[in-house]
Amino acid sequence: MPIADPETEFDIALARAGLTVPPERRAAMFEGFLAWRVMRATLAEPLPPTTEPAFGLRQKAPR
Amino acid sequence: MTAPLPGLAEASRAIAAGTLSPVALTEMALARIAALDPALHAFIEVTAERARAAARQAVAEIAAGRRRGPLHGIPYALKDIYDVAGIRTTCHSRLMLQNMAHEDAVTTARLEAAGMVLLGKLSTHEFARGGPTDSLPFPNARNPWDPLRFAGGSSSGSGVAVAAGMVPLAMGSDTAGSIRLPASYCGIVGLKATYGRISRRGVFPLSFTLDHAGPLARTAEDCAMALQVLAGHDPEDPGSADEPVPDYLAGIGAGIAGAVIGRARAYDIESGVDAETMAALDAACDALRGLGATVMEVGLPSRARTDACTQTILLAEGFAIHQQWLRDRPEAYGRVTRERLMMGAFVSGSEYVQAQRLRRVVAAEVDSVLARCDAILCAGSTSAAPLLEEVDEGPFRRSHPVTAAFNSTGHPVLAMPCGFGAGGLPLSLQLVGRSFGEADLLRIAHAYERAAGWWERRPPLG
Repeated sequence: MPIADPETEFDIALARAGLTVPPERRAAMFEGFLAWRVMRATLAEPLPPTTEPAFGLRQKAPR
Repeated sequence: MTAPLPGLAEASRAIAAGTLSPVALTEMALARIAALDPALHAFIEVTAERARAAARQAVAEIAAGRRRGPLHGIPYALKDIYDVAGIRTTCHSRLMLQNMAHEDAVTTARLEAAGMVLLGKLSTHEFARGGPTDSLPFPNARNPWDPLRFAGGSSSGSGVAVAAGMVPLAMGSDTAGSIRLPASYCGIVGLKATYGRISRRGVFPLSFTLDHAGPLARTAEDCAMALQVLAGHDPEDPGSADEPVPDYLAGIGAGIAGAVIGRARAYDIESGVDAETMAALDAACDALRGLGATVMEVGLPSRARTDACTQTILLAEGFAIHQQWLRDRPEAYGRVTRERLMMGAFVSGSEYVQAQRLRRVVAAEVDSVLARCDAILCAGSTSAAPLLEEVDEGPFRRSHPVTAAFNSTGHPVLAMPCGFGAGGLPLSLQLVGRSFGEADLLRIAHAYERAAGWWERRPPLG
């Protein structure tokens, strides 16, 4: 769900989560959000199928 | 002023020899806490009467020939996110002031079964997530080397209590470095064992797949003694590993001739490690060579990739745990904790999944490095403890700890002193080992520690 305008994405994410940021802390939170947007770009690295996060569903046969 | 407590191994030997009584040791600890804690604030709660009773019981059992093991009768303390039946677990938060625990955490139960003497609950950054100057219901712990400097966190009280000689063993938790950073800044040893090695059941979570419970103590041998009791499979902890527990002390003194140490210099440079820490790390490599090890340069996954893994997972999982309170009672959190947890609202489902996938890649890359060496050596922190006023307490740090990569990969890591900076403050290195290879890690750390001797220095507290 990439949204071009960071401020819109910021407001939507907070509203969807039901969170309120005090006006005096909005700028600091928004700065943090922008830093997070830069970091998340790293997650777009192409990854092989063997990286699927299936470990949590590993089953054991009854003994 | 009472003297600092001896370390775990030293106390154990003295008790075994009959030259030290658990009652005397406990009274010594309580006196030390009474003298120092009003300024250092390591403790949230001191369980003095419980400790005295446990110490008397230890004396009686040992006198009757029923010594339970090497930790019997030795005091310890717990970061206040560990449950102890009948004692509240506050997580250093207004939200948990009335949270009475009804059961021991598995780690608590193991230490109690070993006959240890609980001294109390220790200060932490709120919910293991906040910062060192947040406004909280209890004071924040102060660095015993210099109270104006950061003690490290989030297991701040654990680091301070051990470094100040109030207690030989403290338990902490480590989600991105929260055992290793206080160990680094306080000049002691902190062990984050392999993910799954130590049960997390009964320890308040911050991030299910990154959290590690573990010990802080004065020496590698002390950590080995603690790990011997703490390690083991817990079928009710979904992250617990069903792996055999070796004898961590059997080979600890065997030396490191022939060992291969991978020096992650490029990783440290990328992390911004300062010049005096780099010089101390180089000197540590020289010392390891002098002990018969070979030191080779190794590369690690980039900080950009490991930070993206760890921070994305931490944000999402922490938010999942706290979302309801963040909606309903945001004002009850300290400002730093609240904002850092709220940042999780910005992580999408696909980003969380991608972070878990990337995590597999970087863990495999670290495995491939450890196929060529016995341990990786890198900085424990980028510098000595910074001034509190210089600590970044924003919602999303400008730079993330040098420790965090190995929470994503799950490898065992030990942080330990490797020198002192120009300001007289401890510097620290990390040794990263193969999964479930804690015995090798402890052997390497022990050999270096004995050769270097940094562990013998104590903060100037009297």
